Amino acid sequence: MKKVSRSIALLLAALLLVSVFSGCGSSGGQPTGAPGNNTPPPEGGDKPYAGVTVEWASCFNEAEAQAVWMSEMAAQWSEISGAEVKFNFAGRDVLTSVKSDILVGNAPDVIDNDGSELEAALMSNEEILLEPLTDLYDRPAYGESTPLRDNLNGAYSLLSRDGVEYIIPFIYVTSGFFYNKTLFKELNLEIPKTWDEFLAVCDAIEASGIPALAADGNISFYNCYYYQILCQRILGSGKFLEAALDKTGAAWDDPGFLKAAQLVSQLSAAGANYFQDGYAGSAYPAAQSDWAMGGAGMLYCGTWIPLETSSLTDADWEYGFFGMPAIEGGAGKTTDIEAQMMSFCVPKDAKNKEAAKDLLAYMLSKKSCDRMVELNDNIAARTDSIYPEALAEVKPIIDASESYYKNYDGAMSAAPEWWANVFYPADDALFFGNITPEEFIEQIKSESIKFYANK
Amino acid sequence: MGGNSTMKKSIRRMALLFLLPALAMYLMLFLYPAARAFYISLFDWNGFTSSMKFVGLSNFRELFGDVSFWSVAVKNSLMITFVGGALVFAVAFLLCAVLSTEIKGKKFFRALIFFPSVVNPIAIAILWTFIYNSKWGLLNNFLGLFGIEGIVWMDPAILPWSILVAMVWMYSGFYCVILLAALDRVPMSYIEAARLAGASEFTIFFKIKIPMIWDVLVTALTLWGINSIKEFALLYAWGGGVDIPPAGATNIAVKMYITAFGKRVTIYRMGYSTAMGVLMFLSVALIVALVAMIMKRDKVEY
Repeated sequence: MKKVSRSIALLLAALLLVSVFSGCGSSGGQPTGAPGNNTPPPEGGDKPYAGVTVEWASCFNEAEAQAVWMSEMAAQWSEISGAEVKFNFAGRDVLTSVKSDILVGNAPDVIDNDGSELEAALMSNEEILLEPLTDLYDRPAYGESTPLRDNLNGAYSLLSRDGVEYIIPFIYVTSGFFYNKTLFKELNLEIPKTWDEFLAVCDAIEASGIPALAADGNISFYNCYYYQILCQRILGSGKFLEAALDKTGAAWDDPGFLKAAQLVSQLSAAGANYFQDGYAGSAYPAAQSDWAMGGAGMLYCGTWIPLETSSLTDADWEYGFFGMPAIEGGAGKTTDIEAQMMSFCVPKDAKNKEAAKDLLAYMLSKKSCDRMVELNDNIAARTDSIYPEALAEVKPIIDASESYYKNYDGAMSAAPEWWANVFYPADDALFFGNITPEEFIEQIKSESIKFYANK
Repeated sequence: MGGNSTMKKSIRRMALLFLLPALAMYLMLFLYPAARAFYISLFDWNGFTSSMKFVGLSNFRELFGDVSFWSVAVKNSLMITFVGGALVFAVAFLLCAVLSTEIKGKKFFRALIFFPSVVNPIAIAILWTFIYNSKWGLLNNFLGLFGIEGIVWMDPAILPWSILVAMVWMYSGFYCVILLAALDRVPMSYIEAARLAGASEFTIFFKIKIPMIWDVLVTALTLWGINSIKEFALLYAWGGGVDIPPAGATNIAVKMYITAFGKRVTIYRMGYSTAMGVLMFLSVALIVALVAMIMKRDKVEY
């Protein structure tokens, strides 16, 4: 009897082991890559991708408007193509989420994220992990006859490598001052064209009883907008990036960097203190919410702000926008426009590359992009797409652009460790008014030298 | 005799057989990844590509010269472990002293103080950023009731201390409940005898109760040492989830994550980050050894 029960126990243990290990090896889903999936669809064939499952890893969460748009468009494309689209709405840490899949050759077919993040992660100097999208750029979107590239904002070229495009944008983002037009009307304020006019606007708003500017100090990449854009206005595009990569620190001796720091200091707690009280300790999104409820006059941020704040505004609120004013004698022009692009890419190891590109050609049609704008108050990367009402004042600025530069002059993605460990601490201290402009330059110079010497 | 020995051998074999699956899982899921981490720390690798460049001990050399790692991440980690630990256990003992008396609703209060430790740390981070909000936060409004002007609790200069308060709130109940369970086992006869001999409650607590729960206290301190160094979610969420956390909320674990995976700032240095992980592992081992060494005493039998 004992022998029998021992045998049963052994059998059960063996079964348990088998089930555990077979569970470890299972992919947990149906195989998605049917043979021949990388060939283009047959001409004129109905449902050319029937049986294919396009796997999509997204930086959005399922409830976000962008995710709703993606799901809606993917469902429409599925009707035409016969393919299924399986989303993984992983949120902002999407690259962390797909890292191991890419490593083991099980990459998703489409990844969406900020273009700079995709570039830094998947287009390293050692290896480009993305499929060239030249053919997608050169084909028309669904229901159109002109190549897709002709309808996209020219800033897409900022993301190309040696003239080859691996990333294609769908949302275009730039930054500037947002304000309530109703408030400006009440106070008889005009959009400032120069720094002095800007300071006068700040003074007028302060005189009305609210702080001129709102800032959530715990978001360093919001804080550094001021210094970085002022550097661009004073020195022109590319100089900040050069300084960020300068191992000797000598680039920081350019008086333009000190001038930009002086202007930031002028606004900070060390100067006129135009920000709300305690802005250094404000935790996102407290200040931007307060601004949207009329608690402050202006907010410098990216063009995603109406999407994040529109539910908080009063009925008479009207979004206004203007870029950082020109600085007298500065090399940078107001027609040099900052560009950040939420983008799509197709990993080179994706199993269904052609189906993925076809899906993107659907997503990037004018009809689809118009729907995206309707749903999420963002600017489409297509220049012929409709504009969200809240961002109407951004359109003439972008239409008048003569050149584009990457957000933060490309320094955040080109020198990320320097950015996080050297620039952020110095910039935050300057922005909060804890150090003088001269101390800022001294700190950033000496810390840059130390940082690069340790590499 | 012979039959007994055969049976023992047979039982041993069976025990070994049943232990094998667990051992295999342990080797596969812990020892192999841990050994692999040491290996990866010797490479320059972004974590996405298949190519890894061997750099020997360069990552460790760089780590020892990394000012921001030592002056921010290590400093905050040490502060959490030692200052935070002192505060957590001080509050835990204080609560123990109250709850080990014959007060009414003891079980309810135990559950109540344990509650923060079961709440998701991300929710706690959000909750405390609301409490600390300088304009409409609970804390400043409460102080306002007494005519006290509030301060900016999340100002970068005091942020580590403010976070520490949130951590003490979060963890004190957990350690209190562990210590209380041990205190409940102390025989009442010892305490009553001490009272009859004229000992004060203070003396009873420190001279009788603490020595008698010493083994549990050592376990609790060891647990704190391990968990405090590894503390991550609460600090990571303090940045609002959209940016790298501010310096005051950056410890070794957060720095390690940011260095490996970025957070808008695209660092992606898996090899270097793993070197931080190795250092963190050694720190935990050191803390555990220190606790064991300092707290070594003869066990009190009762």
